[in-house]
Amino acid sequence: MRLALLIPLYAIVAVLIIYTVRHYLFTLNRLFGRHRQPYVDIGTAAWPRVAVFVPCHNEERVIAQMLDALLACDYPERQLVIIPINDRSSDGTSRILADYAGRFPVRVAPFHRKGGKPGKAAALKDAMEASDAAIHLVFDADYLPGRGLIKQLVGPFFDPEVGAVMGRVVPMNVNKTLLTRLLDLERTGGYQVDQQARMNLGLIPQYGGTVGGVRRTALIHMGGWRDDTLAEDTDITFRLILAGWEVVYQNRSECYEEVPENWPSRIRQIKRWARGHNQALARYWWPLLKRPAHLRRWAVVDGLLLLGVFAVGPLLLLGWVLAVALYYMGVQLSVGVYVILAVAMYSTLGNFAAFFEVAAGARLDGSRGRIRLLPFLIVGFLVSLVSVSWATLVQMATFWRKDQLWDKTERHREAGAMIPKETG
Amino acid sequence: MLPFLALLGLTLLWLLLPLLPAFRELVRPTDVAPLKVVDRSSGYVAYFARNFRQYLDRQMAALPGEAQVGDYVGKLPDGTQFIRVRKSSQGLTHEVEPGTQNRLVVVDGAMTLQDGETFLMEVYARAPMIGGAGSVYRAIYADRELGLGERSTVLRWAHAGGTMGVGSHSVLRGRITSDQAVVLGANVVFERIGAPRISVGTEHGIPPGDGFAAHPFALPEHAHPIGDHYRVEGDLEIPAGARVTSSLVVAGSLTIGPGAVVEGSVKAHRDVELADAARVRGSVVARRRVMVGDSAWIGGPVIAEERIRLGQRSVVGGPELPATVSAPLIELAAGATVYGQISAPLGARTF
Repeated sequence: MRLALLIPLYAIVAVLIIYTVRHYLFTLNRLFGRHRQPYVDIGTAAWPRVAVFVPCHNEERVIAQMLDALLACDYPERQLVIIPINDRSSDGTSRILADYAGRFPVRVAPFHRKGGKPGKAAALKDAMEASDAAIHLVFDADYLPGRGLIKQLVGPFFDPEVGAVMGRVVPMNVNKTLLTRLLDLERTGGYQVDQQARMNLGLIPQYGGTVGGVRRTALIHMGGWRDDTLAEDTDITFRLILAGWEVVYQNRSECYEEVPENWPSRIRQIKRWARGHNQALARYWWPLLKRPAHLRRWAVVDGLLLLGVFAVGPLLLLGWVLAVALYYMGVQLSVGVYVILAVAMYSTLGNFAAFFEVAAGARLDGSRGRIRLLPFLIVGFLVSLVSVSWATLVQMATFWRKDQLWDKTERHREAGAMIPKETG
Repeated sequence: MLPFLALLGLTLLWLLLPLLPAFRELVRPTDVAPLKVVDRSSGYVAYFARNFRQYLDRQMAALPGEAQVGDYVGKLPDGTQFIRVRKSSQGLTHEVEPGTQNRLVVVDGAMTLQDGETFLMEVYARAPMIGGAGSVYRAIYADRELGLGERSTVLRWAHAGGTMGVGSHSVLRGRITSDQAVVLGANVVFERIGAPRISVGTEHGIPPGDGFAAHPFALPEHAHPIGDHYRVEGDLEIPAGARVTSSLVVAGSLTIGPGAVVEGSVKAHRDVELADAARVRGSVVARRRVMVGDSAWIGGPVIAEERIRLGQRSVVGGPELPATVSAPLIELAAGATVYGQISAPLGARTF
């Protein structure tokens, strides 16, 4: 009995050590390694045709500002079409889209979706046929792209191997609540350190589903977007990688977003991410482990760790349960096991951004004051730990169910809200 | 009971002590603005020049009528000292020491400046201007043609509405732009240039491709299609005069023989080498180096993570086909021409 508990405990400790080492490697790389961004200076080119898809389900609070920002981009007008996907909206979204389509009949071409499966993946799948543009970019409706962002995101596609590109997400409603400030820190670590380190090291940066895009021929090669997933971004990342395409992260291609301002909204968001990511884990761990010839060994290792990133929370909880159970069974575990569990908790709870990654990211961003909030991250990470673990347990208990529950992220922006000004 | 409570209180205080900065930042935020990292204009190479021109237009418009024409020494409305000369550079009097101009300079008539001048503030030329040899400029905005003498140095940026000529052995820091063309002399060092046409010496135009590439090239058997391109493991050499009709991704190094043509784009995980008169209609990407032979032509952007070398009379892009050449280090031989932009954060050099 004791052995039956000890073996999984040590296995969990081993996994946590691997994740901890990975986080340290990424952080050290960002602090001392070569910054790799080969495509960011492509400022002049014969720009290809681009379609920007903006999935919208009841987005009346934010969609107008998003469209204004896209219309102000410096991408050649004749090469750019904006396709807001009106996904069964019941608020004023349809009216706003009709207004823009009327004023910009060539540049804004809404795609109206009356039925079908709910969710962003299904909406993208249906709307994909609406354009034969070479590059399909995707933005969430609450995002505010800068003037030069479209060109920056399209630049990497001049590399024939690049199948998807991801930019950096920067929260703009930072000053609202403690949660928004913590999410700002988490994003800093996740993008500035984690994603860029994977880019630097030639591993697998993740296409994040927004502030990015996919090459249309690659999408067709993959069979289009899958509508049976809650995380179409993770799904397409691994399908592209397995098929021989490259995914690129570009840290300088920043875009403002609105992060959740209350905990229930945040919990729903991260539970959806966890379920979607776990779907991808179940689907792609074996094809990845078989290592297609074009993939480097370290890329495979990183890919597996990336797939398992939302499984770390439940594993950690299980580790603590096992450790406590063994303690009460009279098994004297070495202090090292407890230390590792504690350190791992500290360094892997952030799933995408460990504490030291956040600190390094804030330093690289040159932000001083916000780094003082670092101790409070434990609050956000504990909430994430419980949410992700619960979502995973429910998912495992109902694995036979095919229907997907799509939780839309709540929007908080008020009419006339201040928009961050252009810098640079 | 009291000692226990006191001890408990002290212990809690001791535990909370390291958290004081966190609580302070929470209660009295000092850093809550969205990160000012969203640089909406970083890709626009003439960004600083455009901003300067807008600033100067506003300032000039606010000047009194008598300060609008002719030679003038005074201050702009924001207090910036400036001097305007109309007929001769002799009017550029020196306030502090000979050879050093510490005022914003407006050149109102076509003129040639003296050698060895140092301009600590911006120069605005409303008429064609030729700078003297060995001069140092903080920044220059020229409405029309601009010539920089030999051994000139530009510290921040320079822009010309007309053609900009750069004398040999000059050093150009920051962003250099022209609405028409930049013609570089030999041994010029620079970081970033944007113009419809950038050439080292005389422009030669796109090399003629007729008469080459008569026979199609059969890719090796292990090459396999991925979407719209073929992937080749290991190195690949395309023989002289061969034609490849698709895009290629090569896991090793790629060599394109003399006169060979690739109809699509190419990428190599190591080096790409284009022999003399080779042609690639799309882009060329390498994780290490791109070496372009004499009279070769590339239709799209050229990207390398280490170094790019453009041979004599080689051309990137075309008059209707703008392109970017980007790598940490770039070398351009005499006659090399780029239609669009060159970006080399660690430095580019002509020879």
